Amino acid sequence: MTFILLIVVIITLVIVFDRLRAIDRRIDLLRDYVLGKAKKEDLEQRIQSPQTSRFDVSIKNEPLPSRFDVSIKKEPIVTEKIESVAEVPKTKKVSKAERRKEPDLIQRLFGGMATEEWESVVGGSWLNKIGALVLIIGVALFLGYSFRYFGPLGRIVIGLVISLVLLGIGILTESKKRYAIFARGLLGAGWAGLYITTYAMHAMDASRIIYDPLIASVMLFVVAVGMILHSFIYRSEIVSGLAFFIGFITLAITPVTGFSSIALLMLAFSLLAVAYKLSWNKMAVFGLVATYAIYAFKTSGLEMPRELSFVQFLFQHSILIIYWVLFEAFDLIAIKKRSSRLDLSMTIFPLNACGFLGVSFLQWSTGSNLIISHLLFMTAAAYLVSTIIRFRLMPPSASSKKDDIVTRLVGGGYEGAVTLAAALLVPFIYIRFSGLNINIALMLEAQFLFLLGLYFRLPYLRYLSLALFIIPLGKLLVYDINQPGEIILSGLNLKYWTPLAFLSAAVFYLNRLILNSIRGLKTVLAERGYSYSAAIVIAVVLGFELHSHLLALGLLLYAITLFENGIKTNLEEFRIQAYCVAVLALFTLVFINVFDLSVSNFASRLSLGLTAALAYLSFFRFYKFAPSNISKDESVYLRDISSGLGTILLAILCWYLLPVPLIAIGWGVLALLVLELGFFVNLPALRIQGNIMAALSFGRLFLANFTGIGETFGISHRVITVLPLALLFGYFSKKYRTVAEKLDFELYLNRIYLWAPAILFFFLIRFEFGRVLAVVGWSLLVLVFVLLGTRRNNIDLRWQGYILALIVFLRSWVTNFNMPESLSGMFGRVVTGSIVIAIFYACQFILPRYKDELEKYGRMMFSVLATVLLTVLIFYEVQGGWLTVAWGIEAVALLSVGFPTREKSLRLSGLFLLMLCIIKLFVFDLSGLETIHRILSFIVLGLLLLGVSLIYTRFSKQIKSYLVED
Amino acid sequence: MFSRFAFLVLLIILLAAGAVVYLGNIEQDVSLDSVSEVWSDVLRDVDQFGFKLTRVSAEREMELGKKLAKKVSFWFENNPSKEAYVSRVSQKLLPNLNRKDIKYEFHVIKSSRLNAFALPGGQVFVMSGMLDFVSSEAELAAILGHEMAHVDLRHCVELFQYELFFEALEMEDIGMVVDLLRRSISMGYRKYQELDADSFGLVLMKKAGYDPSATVDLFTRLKAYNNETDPARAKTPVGEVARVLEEALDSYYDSHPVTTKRINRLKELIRKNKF
Repeated sequence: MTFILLIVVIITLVIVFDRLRAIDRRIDLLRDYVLGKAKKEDLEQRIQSPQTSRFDVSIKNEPLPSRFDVSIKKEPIVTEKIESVAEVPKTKKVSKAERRKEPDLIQRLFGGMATEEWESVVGGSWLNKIGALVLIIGVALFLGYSFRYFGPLGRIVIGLVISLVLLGIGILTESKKRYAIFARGLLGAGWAGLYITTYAMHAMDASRIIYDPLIASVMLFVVAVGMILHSFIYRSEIVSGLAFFIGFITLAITPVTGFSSIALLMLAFSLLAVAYKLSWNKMAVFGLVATYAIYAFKTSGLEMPRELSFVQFLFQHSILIIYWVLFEAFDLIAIKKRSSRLDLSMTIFPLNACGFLGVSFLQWSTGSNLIISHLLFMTAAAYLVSTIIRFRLMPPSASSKKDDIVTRLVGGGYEGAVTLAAALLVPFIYIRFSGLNINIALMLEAQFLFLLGLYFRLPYLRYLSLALFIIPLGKLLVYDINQPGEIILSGLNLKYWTPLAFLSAAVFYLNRLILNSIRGLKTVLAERGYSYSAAIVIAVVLGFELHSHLLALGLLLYAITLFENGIKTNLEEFRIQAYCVAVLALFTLVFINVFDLSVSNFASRLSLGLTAALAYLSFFRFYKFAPSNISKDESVYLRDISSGLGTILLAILCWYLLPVPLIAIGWGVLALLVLELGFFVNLPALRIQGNIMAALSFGRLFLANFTGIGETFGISHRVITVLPLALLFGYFSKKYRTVAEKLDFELYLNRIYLWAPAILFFFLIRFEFGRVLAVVGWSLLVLVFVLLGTRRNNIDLRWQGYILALIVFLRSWVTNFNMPESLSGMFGRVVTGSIVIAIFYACQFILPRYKDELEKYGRMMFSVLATVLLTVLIFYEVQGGWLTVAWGIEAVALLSVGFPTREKSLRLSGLFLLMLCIIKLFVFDLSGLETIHRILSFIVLGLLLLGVSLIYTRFSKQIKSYLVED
Repeated sequence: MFSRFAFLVLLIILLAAGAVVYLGNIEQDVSLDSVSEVWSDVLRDVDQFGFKLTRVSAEREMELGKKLAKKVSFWFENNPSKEAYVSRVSQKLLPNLNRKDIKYEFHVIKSSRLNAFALPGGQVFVMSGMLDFVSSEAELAAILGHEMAHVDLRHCVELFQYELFFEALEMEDIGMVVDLLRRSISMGYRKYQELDADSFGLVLMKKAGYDPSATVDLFTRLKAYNNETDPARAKTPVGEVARVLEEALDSYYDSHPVTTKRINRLKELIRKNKF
């Protein structure tokens, strides 16, 4: 009933669609007429002529003019448009071509026939066939009705009569051309009726007159053969299709028996035979889908027995197997016949596989895993046989070069069959094996395919094997490594999967090397996956098997091995893997060996040391024996990265191994060695590393060495460590001063290295002498800087002296040489102050009279600083009434020295001080001092002033000459 | 040729220095104290310029001290025996002070806390808890010497110096603002004033005839009492740098250095000066 409704709906839709188009066409014509685009005659002509209706489509697409666009009526374009309709202009030709490319629904339905024909086709052919179908259904209904009144024989007779009548009328009328289409419909209905009736003779209880299934089968076979043979006469796919369709429907609605299955089989076979003979691919596909669908439909409702034996299970599958064989055979036979690689018959192979496996899967619940595995294996074997046949029928050598794998795969080549065979073995292996044996079996299968691919030079097999290898690899990396269990192998306690992992890696590497070794073999990018997979597996094994602190070392060793292999085999991928593993090793090193909590771990230190050694070895290899088959840039990068890594690791190792105050020394030694090596082999990268280490060493001193209180033999570790490093920086400065070839970044390093010791000495003295007493040490340092700077004519040293002198002055001035840490009376304020002042005066005389813009004030600066400090010191030491006298004496002393030494700054300082004394005398001393002090102050200062005055007048000529020389 | 010789000599010197250090008493402390202390030197030097220009007389300082002491007088224990003990020890320390014009006054405060402090003008306060804690006269001398050193080195009066100076000029508001600015600067070096007071206190003790090592003993016991522990060596180089920076930032505004550093500094002073 549902089927009838479906047919009615389809027919109604077709009719409605056609009516709608007709109405649409008329509306367009009317619109054109109303707008003046078409004359009345045109309108009439177009309505009468179906040809015009085709042109209307393009007219209909013209944009409608606006209601207010009056000019349209006046423009001649209207006539042109009408003319263009008649002439079928080029634009419309294009439109037709486009329409040809994309046929509308009607065209698709009627196979692109002329529009005038389709109506007759619908009326004469389709309605005829639908009528036949309706008639058959009517017959069936009548039979059903007649069941109440007739016995089985009567029912059969009625069925036979109706069928034969239909057949007879069809045969009689078919010869007349006019009724040919009508007759074919009747023929189809007749054969279908005959088939159903014959089927009913045995299959239906209500009409069973034949009890022997063999006879029934023979009869059904005869009818089927008759139907097939008769179809050949008319060579109408629709007629035969209708017949087969009815046959399938019949079997679908009948109860399930062995007979119905055989009937279905024969129906399918006959259909395929016809389809093959007449190249009716659509019918073949239809037959395949119908066969499996009906079988699935009919068996789905059945209660399946549980736990069948293999034979029973096989028997249960027998019909299905025969179906599979039937369709597979059809596909194999059809391969040679295929004119085009892209026709509908190509779907038979995948549909057959899906149909068989899908329907079979529905029945798997009836068999044990073992039985299912047998079935899978047998299916795989069958597909293997199919593979061989397909290979012979459609050898890859015969295919066009343009044919890619996909074309061959869907075109019926061996590729599809072998893929299915291989794929079916996977679940088979999973069922039959357990644990790591699954991996081994899968790998064996994949390897077999790989070797087969190589032997027959079939790339597809190699790709297939590659895909298959992914399964055991994925299982290993995702599942197996998370499983507990260990084995002891040669005394080593290993994870239970480790040997297999190594085996996998070995197989992968072997395959990659085999591929590489065969000359002329074209490999694809994916086949590099072998070596990448092997690298991943080994890295994982190392990760699980090695002690965490030795992991980085292990990975680095592996990276080196990969690299060397890459060089040897000239395969870039190995080098890439080597770099990846090396980066992994570095990450491991950082996160496990450096940031791990157990830094005291011996293994960690050992790993660091060995890794550093490896890095330097690597550096040596790239420096001395750089591989010729990699680019120079790559070689240089690797060389520099290796040395850098070695240096960093050694620095870290120093940090771990050495006591806190010695780390700076360790890094200093490293800096010396690396920098010296950098100069020796003339490698800037090494020199950069050396400089970085020197900077680290310098910085480290501020963290651990200046404030520590450690000592050896009474000498503070501060002194013991800072002095050698200051020497080191001095050495570097000299080195950079003397080396001719320098890079840009090295141009100023000699000066920077000269300032580094100055800073170190500054801090050393500060912490060795204390906050206040430091001025003594610093002033001595000033003297050294000025002396060296003058003798060596080094402006940096001199400037260090100037800056330090200013610091000394400020500190001295603000602290008044008042030292809380001045102990045991040895360094009193006078002694301390005197040293500083004396040094400043000494510096004044040591410094040459520079003409430089800034340095010409150097001497004066020392002089003024010393005089101010002396004046302050006198102020603190000579408090009270004697201060004016003391300052007066100081002033005279300054003048006395200033004249013979021709130091203008001293003389001016003396005069300034005398002025200060005079002011103090009158402003303060006159009222503030006790009588005796006041008197003495006046007398002494007066004498001093007279004395100075006498000198200035008595030796005026000489003074003038001094002044001139100044 | 010279270069190679110099290289070898330098290498030997470096290695020898390392060996010598290895043989000695190794200190494991890692900190930014060196930089921090030198920076505090700079701050103090800058601060000293202002102080030199705004010095107040000893009389005004003592007047201020008395005024402040009155505010805490309700705390005084009024225990003659304890006061006599403190006075007796302090009298031995007084002769060696630099500022002779300051008249010191010593008070005992009733509190179980282990503390002592000083105010400008020679006002020194010792809490009874501290008096009970000290195990010898030398230890008390260490405490008193430290507080007297604060007064003698002007640490106490410098806290109020700008305020007093501008008060005299009847510009109290400006004084308060300037003092606020100065305090923000002095926060950076106040803990180093504690080390100065420790050092000078040690000198006072030594000159008064006490054993300076008593100071080390006292601080060691205080450290144990306060459950202060020395941090273990960092586990990684990066961790070390992170910790050093964290400590430097945390301790920048501390008023007192950690006890371990004070003990180390005192030990070094004793060693250097052969006390």
